[in-house]
Amino acid sequence: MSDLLEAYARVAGQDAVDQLQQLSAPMKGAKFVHVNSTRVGGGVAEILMKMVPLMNELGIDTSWEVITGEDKFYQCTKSMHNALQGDQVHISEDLLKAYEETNSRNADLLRPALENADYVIIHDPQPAPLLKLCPNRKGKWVWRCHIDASNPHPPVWNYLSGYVQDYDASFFSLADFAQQLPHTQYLIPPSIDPLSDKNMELSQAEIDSTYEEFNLDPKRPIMLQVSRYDRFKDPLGVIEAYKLTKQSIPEIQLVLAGGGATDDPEGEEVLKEVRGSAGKDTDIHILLLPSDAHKTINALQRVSDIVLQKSLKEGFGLTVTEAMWKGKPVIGGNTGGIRLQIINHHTGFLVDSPQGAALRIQQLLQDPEKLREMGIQAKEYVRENFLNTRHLREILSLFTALDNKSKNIIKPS
Amino acid sequence: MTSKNENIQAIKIKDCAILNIATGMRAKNLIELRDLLLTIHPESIYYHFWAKKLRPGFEEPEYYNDFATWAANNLHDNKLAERLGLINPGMFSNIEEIRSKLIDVANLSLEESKSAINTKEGEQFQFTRSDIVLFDSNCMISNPEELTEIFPTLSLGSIYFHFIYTKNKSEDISSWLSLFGDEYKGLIQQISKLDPYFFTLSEIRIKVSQIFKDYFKGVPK
Repeated sequence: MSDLLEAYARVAGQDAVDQLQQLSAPMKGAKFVHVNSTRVGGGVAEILMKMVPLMNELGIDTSWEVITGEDKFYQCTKSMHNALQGDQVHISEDLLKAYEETNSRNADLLRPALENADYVIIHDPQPAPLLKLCPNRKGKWVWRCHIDASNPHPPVWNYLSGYVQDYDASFFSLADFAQQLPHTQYLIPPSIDPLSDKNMELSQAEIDSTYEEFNLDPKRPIMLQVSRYDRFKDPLGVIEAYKLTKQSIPEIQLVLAGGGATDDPEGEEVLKEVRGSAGKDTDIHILLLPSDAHKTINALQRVSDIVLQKSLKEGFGLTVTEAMWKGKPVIGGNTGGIRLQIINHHTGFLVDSPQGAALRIQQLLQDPEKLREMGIQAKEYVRENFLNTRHLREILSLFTALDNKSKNIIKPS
Repeated sequence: MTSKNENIQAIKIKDCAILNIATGMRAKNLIELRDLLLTIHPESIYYHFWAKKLRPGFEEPEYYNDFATWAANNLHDNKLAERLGLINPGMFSNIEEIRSKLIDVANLSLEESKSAINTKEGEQFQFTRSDIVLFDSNCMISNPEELTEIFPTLSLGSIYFHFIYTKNKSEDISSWLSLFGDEYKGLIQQISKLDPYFFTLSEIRIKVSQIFKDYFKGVPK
């Protein structure tokens, strides 16, 4: 077994690696292509960054293609993203035209690789039209929706479903997100990579240097939210929860650590609002981190006492799972995939308001023993359910099911 | 390993996982749940009683089937949750009987309350089903006593496969033990007293391991 697979076996268990080897054996040498719209920033890119090498290590010839476009394309796909999350967004014909033209242009470049592939996963709405643009495809094509699409704006979903319905299958993070489609819809939550820079163990020196780097006081409690500056992540709600907590725990410090994704044009505007809300409070640290600051985020999660992900909508919060993997209880918005990630009152708390977040922050800071116990349970829950070995097992199982067409029973070999 | 009885085929221990599938059917209140129960695929009912044990979740559930858990957590109707929770699938001979019982309980509750409270957004009952993914574990047992050591190390997938999924079929551990005639009758009886409905897979592993340990402690080598 290779060093990489041995490393996964040490963290996730030999059984997990054995299962991957059994599932990948019949796919050895097969061409597998992932397509999304950004190579850096955001959860999809992070997942693919680690999953693609793991798939290659298992003998599947896996590549990762990224479609690119101009401003209008990203404006359109950001609006689509917001509309799938429930915003009543009208997308103009002009923007939809840019969406279609961008996909057509990218299809011209990717067509040989895609039509020749045995297995294709198209991630999210951005590249969804590629299937229709590859008429001579020979493999199985699956659409992966990472978004909380539980209550999509109907005109936008109707438009998008015209592209999605022809796929062989689709998969969503939660049953709530599944839609009416004429193919099988699998439920596969995302995952984190325990060996990545973001999640690996760090030396004490690396962790300690974080206090100095960001001017944090190690003797005072730290609350942290790591996420893009996006209204659905509710950074203003986090600041409100911090301010409420500050009234009873004046020594509290808040770190908001975010970066941009190349396919998110709204980030700067939200960042401005966040800075405005923070005012001149020197205990609020607003960080704009580069997309490769994985070890920095890792260290920030480790120095924090409490981690928040107070999203108003969330397909699946990778930062929730990352923090839990570091033994931190997470206070998360009671929405979407976070409901699956946090077992309320056991591995963290689900909240519906800044007041709810403030209440749970204060409760945990008052009770360090509970904080520690929840952290231990959180880490075990991630180990059992949200590592990328489980995630890949389910993806390979899905394609095995499509290949086999055997009723309900999937046998890898 | 030498076989206890050369004529009896060794049991190959399998591991398994489930692949969850959305049915697209969802209920926001008890009336909708009852109506969907009339037609929902039997695999979905099986899932919400049994396959759910392999799904991510907390180890100490208050109720043992998803219908009861939903009634308690989302409809906030504890009486209904208790009635649904008492539906033990092991007491029914097939899924259709379980379906009828679920519908009876829903109807009883609807008659009593005359109304159906709607759940909040995101708290609908999501009818789900699953495929099962089978794996070889490279573990073959020819002598039942070997299970004393091996049982505590089995994956939760193996526990599910050999105790729940293959119940009363040849790969069920008790069915395999019965191939030895009356030799392990006492052991089979003790295992049969354990109702898997009321336990998580980890709990089943602990309890059955103890049954094997206690049984073979008293058996002369």
